[in-house]
This record gives sequence, C-alpha cells and structure tokens, in this order.
Amino acid sequence: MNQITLKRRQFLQAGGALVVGFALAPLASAAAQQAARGAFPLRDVTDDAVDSFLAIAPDGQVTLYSGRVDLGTGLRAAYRQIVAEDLDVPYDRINMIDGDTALTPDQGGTGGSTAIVAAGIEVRQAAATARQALLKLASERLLVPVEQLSAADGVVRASNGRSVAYGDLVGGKRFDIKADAKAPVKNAAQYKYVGKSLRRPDLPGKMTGRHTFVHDFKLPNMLHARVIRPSAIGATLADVDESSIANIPSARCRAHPELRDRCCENEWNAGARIACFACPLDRAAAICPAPTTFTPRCARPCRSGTSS
Amino acid sequence: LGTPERLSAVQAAFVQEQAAQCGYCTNGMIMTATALLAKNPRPTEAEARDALAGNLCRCGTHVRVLAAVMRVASNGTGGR
Repeated sequence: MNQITLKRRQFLQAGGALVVGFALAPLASAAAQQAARGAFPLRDVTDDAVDSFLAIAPDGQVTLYSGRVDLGTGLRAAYRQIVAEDLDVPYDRINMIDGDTALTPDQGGTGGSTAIVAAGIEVRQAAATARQALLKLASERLLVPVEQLSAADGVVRASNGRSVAYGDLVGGKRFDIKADAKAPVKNAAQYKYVGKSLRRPDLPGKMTGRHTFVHDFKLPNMLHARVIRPSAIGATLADVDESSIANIPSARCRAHPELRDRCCENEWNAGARIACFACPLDRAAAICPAPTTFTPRCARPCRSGTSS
Repeated sequence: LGTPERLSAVQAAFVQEQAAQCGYCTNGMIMTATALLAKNPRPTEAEARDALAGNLCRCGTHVRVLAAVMRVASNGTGGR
C-alpha cells in the first residue's frame, strides 16, 4: 500500500494498537503499553456501521462514540439529546466519548458549525437504525409483530403488556448493521429532549480550573517544546548558542533551517527557555534575502546590506 | 474559590449563564469578576465592563460573562 495515500482510518483498522504501541515504544514500559491496550481495546470504527457510533451495555447504559469533539459548543449535551430522542433512551443513561480516533468513527474535522447539521445527522441515523434493529429483536423475542411494539426509555413494550429492555436485547453485543439513511426518525412534535436547554457537563469543571485541556495531557517521558521563529520574514538560521540553555535540566535544541524548537521535560522550563533565548536569538546572525518590502521589520543582525 | 460540588456565587452564575465556550479564559474572568465584586458588590454594567476589559475571550462569550457578573451584582453579596 502506498504510504502517502494510506488513510488514517485504514491505518487504524490495520492495527491501531500497533500504531499506539509503536509511538510509545521508546517511552512507555511494556506494562504501561499493555495497560493502555487493555483499557482501550480496538473497536470497529467504520464510518457507516451502527456499532462505530453506539454501544449498549447489558445494564442499558448507552455509549456514543463521536468523531466530532466538543470544543465548548455544547456538543456533549447536543449529541446525547439526539441519541436520547431517536434511540428512545433516557438522556442521563448516555455517555459520550469524543476526541479519541482509535475509538470513534472518522466524521471529519470539527468546525464551521457543521457538527449538528452534518455529523449530527450521522449520529441520528445511527440511533434511528439501532432503534429499528431493537424493535426487530424485541419482535422476535416477544413473538409480537413490530407494528404492535413501541419503545420508550430504553424499553420495548408490546400492546399485550409484555416488555423487554434494550440491555437484555443487545447488551454487550454488536448490531452488525450499517446506518440506514431511511430509518424513520422522530418528527419535531414528538421531541422530548431535542430543543430543550439541558445542562452542559463541561461547565462546572471549567469554572473551577479542573477541566483538562490538551495542554494538560501527560505521557511518560513527554517533552515540552517551544518554537522560536526568526525575527524577520525569510530569515534563515545561521547559528545556535547551545550553551545558553545548558543550565536548564534536560533542555534540548533541535535546529531547523527556518525554525528552532526546543524540548524540555516540563512546561515551565520550556517557557523559561524563551527568556534564555532572547539573547542567543539576537546574536544569531539572521540572513534576510531581498527583504525590500519588509526592511522595517528586519532584525538588527541582518547582514544582507538592505537593513534600514 | 469553589469546587464543582460547591461553586462560589460567581462560578455558579457563570454556569447559569453558560458564560464559557472552550473555557480557556474562564479562570481569569472568574478571578477578575470575584475581585471586582469583593471590592464593589453592586457595580454598574459600565464598571463591570471596565473591570473585565483586560480579559479577552476568543470564543466570544463576553455578553454572557457580563450577564453572569451582573447576576451576582444584582444580589449585592460580593460574589462569595
């Protein structure tokens, strides 16, 4: 397979655990890798499979796997409302996992106000398809035609009074069906959850400094990096004074012709190095090729003869 | 100031007004608002705007932040 055209999704399907293991191999212990695999077993994340989006546990707890992420726009509430509505389960019985590409279907990037109008439709189709599958399973279990069944709050009820819970029908097992764009969805007049202003689960953590941002993630032996850019457009790196960061534990410098980045074992030291490098950056002789338009912005050390 | 289980008055008002999107600027907003209300329990909207002028929100929640601060200001408790 061509390395360049290999899609992320194919790559993960080919061996997501191996990818993770490979990435962590030089860093994490074998035990930590094993623990990571045990905690996150490989899932089917095909874009159009119901199982990629939804899992129902034996106790009726529903997990929604979302390819879009909640950036503070309330998606964790909104998607749960959509699933509650079209799967007919209580809102509080739904967990949502987002932001982990090994577990979630590829629904494209999050942005452009498309998480509801585009990706939300996929979530709704998965929920509606799953609901039809549950009605069919209940029909077989209760020996009652689907037309005489109704679903509410995670339970299918027959007109003869018999009922069966979702968890008993499919709990812990796969649906093994594709999401059906034609699966019937609720009409707006029937909505119990959609359209209501429900509590956003992220807010209390954000108000009390406990929310985990991506900057807060830690992996074993992780390094923090800062990019120091040249002070003029088109400048190239001529020299790096490594001795200027020798006093910072574990600081490393990696030179690139156009940028420099340096890594450190903690964020504080990574930031501290910026101050340290205020000096060497000035001393580094930046070469500005034909900077006529940008001459006023040119750094003092320019030696192309065109500096102001 | 408070915990998710026991929010301060300012934090609770921020939750009620949904005065955060990504939440990155929120801690600064809450500290500034708490300091303002401790000094001036009933600020006018102009005073609240002035106090919060240095706290920038790229998501664009300023209107909701102001609503949260004025919600606390309206009861004059000083934000605790």
